[in-house]
Amino acid sequence: MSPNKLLIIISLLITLALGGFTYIGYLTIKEYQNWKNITNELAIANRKSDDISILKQNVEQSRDNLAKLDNSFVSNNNIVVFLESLEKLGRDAGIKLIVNNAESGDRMRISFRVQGTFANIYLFTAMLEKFRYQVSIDNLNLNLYNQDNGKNASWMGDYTITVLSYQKQ
Amino acid sequence: MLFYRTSALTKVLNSTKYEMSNKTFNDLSQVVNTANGKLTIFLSNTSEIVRPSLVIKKIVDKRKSGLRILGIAYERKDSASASVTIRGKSNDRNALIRFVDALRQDPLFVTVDSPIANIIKQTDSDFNIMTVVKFTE
Repeated sequence: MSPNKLLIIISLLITLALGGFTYIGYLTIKEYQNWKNITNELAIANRKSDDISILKQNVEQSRDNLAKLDNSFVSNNNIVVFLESLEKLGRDAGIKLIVNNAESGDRMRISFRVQGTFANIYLFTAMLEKFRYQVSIDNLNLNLYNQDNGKNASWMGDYTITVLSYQKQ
Repeated sequence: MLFYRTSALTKVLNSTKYEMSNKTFNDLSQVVNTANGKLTIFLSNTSEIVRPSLVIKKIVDKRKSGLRILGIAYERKDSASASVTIRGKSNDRNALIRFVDALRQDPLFVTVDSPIANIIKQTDSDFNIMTVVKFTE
């Protein structure tokens, strides 16, 4: 074999080897970038996963408060529960309570009449303001109904209230 | 070695992403969103709640001897004020004047209107007093 041919073959082999190394180097850099991206994504995903765990824990810890919040809302599904609670509030205050009308749109409005002593109606009004459902007393008409019993004279009260914590669904 | 590690990491990443997108996460989001919605409504309502019981108590506390209250009409005007009409019977003019003065001295009652008709009769007169109350925190 002539020295020229040998030189050409060696040059080709060196060129091929350099090409191979360059290609492997390119693949390695590409894979390194890929690995770096995945590591970053994984770090973000892990943080999110931790956040979800904390969120889950917080939801668990707030379960009682969430239930209280749910119980303070009236929806079309639990209007009866609300009315029964209102009637019970009346009984607890020692007055008679009769619901006259209830209408619901964006908010729910209830009209009712109460009968009892002035002190008990006052107590009922104060209790209504602190009711577990958020209500606004829009109209209240108190009138002496029967004054035969002196201090225990009978009063009548007509109320119109708006249930503020109302959601249709 | 690097190729192997990348492949293993991809598996871990996919598994973590799956965990985050599963039902638990969606359920939690729904619970939190619902609670936030209700809390927003609840807190925005707080400013709308006024206390007519406070008005009734003040009226009763200011009632003087010789004066009987027969009716109180409360009508909410907005989130901070209401008009209140007090109806009653007064034994004499002075009892009514003292009652009206006591109401006027209370900052809750921003206007107190007692028409002259209330004091036309010297004794045993019916009265109507129109007031506007303003609630302040």
